Amino acid sequence: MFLQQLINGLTLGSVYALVGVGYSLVYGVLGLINFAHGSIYTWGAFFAFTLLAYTGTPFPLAFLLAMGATALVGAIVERMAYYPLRKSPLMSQIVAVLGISIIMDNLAMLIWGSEAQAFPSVMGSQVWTFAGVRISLLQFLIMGAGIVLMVALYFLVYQTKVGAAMRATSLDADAASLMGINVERLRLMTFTLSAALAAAAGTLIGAYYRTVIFNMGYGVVIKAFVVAILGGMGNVVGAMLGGLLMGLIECFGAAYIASGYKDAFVYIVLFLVLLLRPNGLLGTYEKEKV
Amino acid sequence: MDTATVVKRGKLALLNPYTKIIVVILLFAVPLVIHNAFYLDAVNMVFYFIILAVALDLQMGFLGVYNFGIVGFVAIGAYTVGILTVGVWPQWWGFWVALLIGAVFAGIVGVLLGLSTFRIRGDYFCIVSLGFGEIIRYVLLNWVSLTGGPMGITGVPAPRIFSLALASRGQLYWFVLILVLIVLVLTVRMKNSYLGRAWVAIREDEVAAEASGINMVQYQAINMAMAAVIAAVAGGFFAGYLNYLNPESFVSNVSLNIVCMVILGGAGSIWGAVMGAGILTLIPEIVRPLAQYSSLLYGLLMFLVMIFRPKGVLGK
Repeated sequence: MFLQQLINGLTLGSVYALVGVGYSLVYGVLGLINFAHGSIYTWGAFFAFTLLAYTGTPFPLAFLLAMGATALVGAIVERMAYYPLRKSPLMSQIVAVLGISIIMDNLAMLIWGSEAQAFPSVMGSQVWTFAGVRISLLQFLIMGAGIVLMVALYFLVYQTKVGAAMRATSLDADAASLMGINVERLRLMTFTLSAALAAAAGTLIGAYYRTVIFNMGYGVVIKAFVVAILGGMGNVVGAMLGGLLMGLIECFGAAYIASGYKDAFVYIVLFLVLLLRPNGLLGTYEKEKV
Repeated sequence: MDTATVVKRGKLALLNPYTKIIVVILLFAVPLVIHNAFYLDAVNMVFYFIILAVALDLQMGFLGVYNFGIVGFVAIGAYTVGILTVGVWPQWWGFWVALLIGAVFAGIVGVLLGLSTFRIRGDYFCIVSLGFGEIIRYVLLNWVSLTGGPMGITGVPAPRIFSLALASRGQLYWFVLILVLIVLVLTVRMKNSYLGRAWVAIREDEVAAEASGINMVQYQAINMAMAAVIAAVAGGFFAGYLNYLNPESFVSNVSLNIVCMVILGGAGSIWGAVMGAGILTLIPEIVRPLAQYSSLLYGLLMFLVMIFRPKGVLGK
């Protein structure tokens, strides 16, 4: 039971990590909660669903194509909704993005219908049993994809010039732009990257639960936020760990405390983290300057 | 510092005290002229959302705290009325006592929420409050013995005054209109009292406000309590109006819609909140023939208003 929940939690957690890292990056570089993250995730899942169900594309290819297509959608959203409002009050930006998110969800509903669609089986139903613990090939695949993407992202953010520019912009966008970083282009890139990661997560979740629906992204914005603050906003490694932790909390909470509250644990964790460690588990204390 | 002064500073300078009285009388006369239940329903819902938008404007516009979970307080008010009138006090005064209890209860929850989150600012608070609303909804969904779970509560009686039941759409219109007027007078007066000024001071600069002797924690708690009480009263009305309750009426999207009403009209402007509530409640009704596109248009409107008037239609 315990080991089984551990495996389930880590599977779910690696997906949450993907969503959370993208979200955290966008918050760092654009300085804004991305309320459209859930809709982008939904679109990613639907792109993969369309490719798999209607064209019979092999899964790895469909996975990458869905990421690419969603990245494009992300770039359009960034230029349409974020860029023109860069200097507006925070709330106007949030409402504009909420508007975009409603538009995207409803477009998804018009295109793919309002009913849940069955996501094609990806890996057959191969299941191994070790000492009473069932692990499916799909769970391996999800964890593997999560790990590969996380490692690639870690390399990108901490080892490349672009990553250094991202971290510099998170720290201080004005100073970064004075150092010759093209901040606007970097913001577009970060948003696009985060959209691609969201698409990967959406596709994996679609494959895991074998279903996609237009409103599947509703709770994702909040979960991604919690994952991001668990690790400290803008902290990539923190968000990865936060995602795994979130998956574990959900699975263990549902198994040992109350299954009806499965989706409510995330909020309880959120309250606790913000009350006890407002800068995240790995965050450093930052005092407001006068 | 009454309504007229504030209004004069705004864009509705036409409203001198006499026109105000005439407008109020005309508003009360509406159900005598319009009997169509569809129109009255639409207007009642506009009023219901005006109350909520104004309550939220106290937080977002005055204090600068972006509460994305106001529907949690509405749910507390609504379910208190539902549970107490159905199960405990079916008498005529049950509704009114329950309305009061719900308001007090929501106020206490509001103070607790305010006290526990006063350090959390800006967009973080957006999500925390969104989470608060969702936690309330999960409790409603899962505490089946008390709330009926997903089935909710049916047979909530209409508000009654002795043996007179406010059951028709017109009578309920008068009830909610009175609530709207009370809330409007209250908030407009509050805006220019020491309370409103303290809130604006905190919004503009927390450190400076505290240095000027404003107890931030206390004023934030009062603000949260006010909004919670008003929202709970609106929730109580909602319970008596629809006669049934289920958690679906209190999903987080309702909170977000109310946020959009405030922002659309212009945060900090009470008349903006009124207008935002009117526009966003009526648009889905007007475009009903385009049912499947109505949400799409709603999103498009939010987006376009923010692009062209980032501070809201009546915002300065």
